[in-house]
Amino acid sequence: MRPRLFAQVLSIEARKSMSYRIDFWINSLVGILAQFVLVYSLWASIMGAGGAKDSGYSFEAIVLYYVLVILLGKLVGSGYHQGEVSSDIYDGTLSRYLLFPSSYFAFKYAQRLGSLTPVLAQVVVLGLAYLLFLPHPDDVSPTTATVAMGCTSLVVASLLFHSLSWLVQLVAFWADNVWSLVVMMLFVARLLGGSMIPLSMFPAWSQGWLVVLPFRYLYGFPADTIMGRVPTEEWLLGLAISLAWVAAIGLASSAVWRRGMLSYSGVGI
Amino acid sequence: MSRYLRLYLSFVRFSFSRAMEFRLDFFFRVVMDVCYYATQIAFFAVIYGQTQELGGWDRSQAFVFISGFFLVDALHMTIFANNMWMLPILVNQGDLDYYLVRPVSSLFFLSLREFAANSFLNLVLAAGVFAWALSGLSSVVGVGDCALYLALILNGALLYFLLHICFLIPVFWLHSARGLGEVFFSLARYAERPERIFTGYMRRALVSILPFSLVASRPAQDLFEGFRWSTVAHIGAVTALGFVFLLWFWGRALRSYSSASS
Repeated sequence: MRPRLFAQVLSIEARKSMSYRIDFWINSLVGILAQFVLVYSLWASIMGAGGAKDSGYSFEAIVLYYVLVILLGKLVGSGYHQGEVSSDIYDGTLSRYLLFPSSYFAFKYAQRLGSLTPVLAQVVVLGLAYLLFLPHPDDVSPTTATVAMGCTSLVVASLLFHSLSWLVQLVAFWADNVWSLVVMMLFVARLLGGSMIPLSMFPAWSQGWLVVLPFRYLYGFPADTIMGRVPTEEWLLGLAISLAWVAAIGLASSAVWRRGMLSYSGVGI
Repeated sequence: MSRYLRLYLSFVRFSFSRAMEFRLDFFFRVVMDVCYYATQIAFFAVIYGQTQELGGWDRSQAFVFISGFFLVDALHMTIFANNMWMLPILVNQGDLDYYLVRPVSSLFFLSLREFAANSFLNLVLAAGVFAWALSGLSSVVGVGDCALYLALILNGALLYFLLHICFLIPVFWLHSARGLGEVFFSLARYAERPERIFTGYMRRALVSILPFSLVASRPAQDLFEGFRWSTVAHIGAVTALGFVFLLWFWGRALRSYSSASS
């Protein structure tokens, strides 16, 4: 897909997602605030009772971790396109895109990024609110380098999420309704990605698995990287693993897409 | 009343026959809910690896609480969830007209028309998880207490529905295809956590104007500490007030409905 077309699709989608402004801001801001108050209360209760002493996080550090996971999670895994590919296949709208002189995958990714553009504004506003109003941890040292490394991880995380979601939705070539599969993927990704609990708190036997599975690289890895908790060698390894997952999922998706196109009738429901 | 009951039985029959037509979807929905139960249990298992107690509860009590919430969730998914999913879309596309002209309560019709037969199986699974959690409880729970708890869980499902629909009704004014659905799902997570981890105004709000803690947490608390009639009366009063508020809110919303699509 040509960069200019990619930018145009992205721009149209960004404007479309802002068409219901009140709804957009209420849903996003209250949603983020509600999530934050919930995890703040949870960890205040746990640490107030003397728990999580060996977790490696002070209370302020865990607050920062969740601020990052919540905000970066909005950029990685939100947007209004989580069910659109399967809908296109299910109702036959895919036929229209197949006539376009560009890749369907790239077109949908541009739409997804476009819908996230307004979210970026919220992330900046709420990130600044954190810096101004909440106490900063002494045991965490984000630097320009760690922020840059974290942002790189975030870009890969976004692509990884889109690839995962894409692969799951291609099941729509054979199943009538796959939204439950997408929701299932989100449940697993939130738990094993470190969005619900920092992954370092999981039992020791699971740590090896968490490193090789793709979910860690969606939420916990970018957040920990920005916080300066990931050494450079580990970050490079993590980036390599997540890119390997993107490539592997891409190959699997291509195979599934080719098989799916053979059974696609274009009729729709 | 009997007319409404007959109508509801027709909804259920129709839903079961339709669920059998989409067998793969039926299977996916079951697995999705199992996945949800597994992630919540894993969440509490990891949390209790870090602390001995959470909101005054030990691990076995937390498992009873969360499995009680699974029952609420399974009831909601079976009876109301599909209908709640469709409501903002119907309003947004101006398709509500077809429901308003029918000779039954529009609120009844829109809230109960779709019975999710596939989630009904999850109700059985949730009951199994609850029985497992109850068997692991360190203290013995009497049959009477258990029956009262289950009655409060049923009430919790109704309360959860009341909250859900109240967050969707603003779609009549916002005209988006989602209403405040995302806000509801963010706040609904408060129902999945023990009430006592919250303090101050937040805790008071969660048992009054946003009564998510009355859905499963407060009933569990009384199950462990002995039921107080004041709690039962409190939960009953909040549910009744919520229902009255819903009827008023729905009436106001219908008066604002223009039938134009967006």
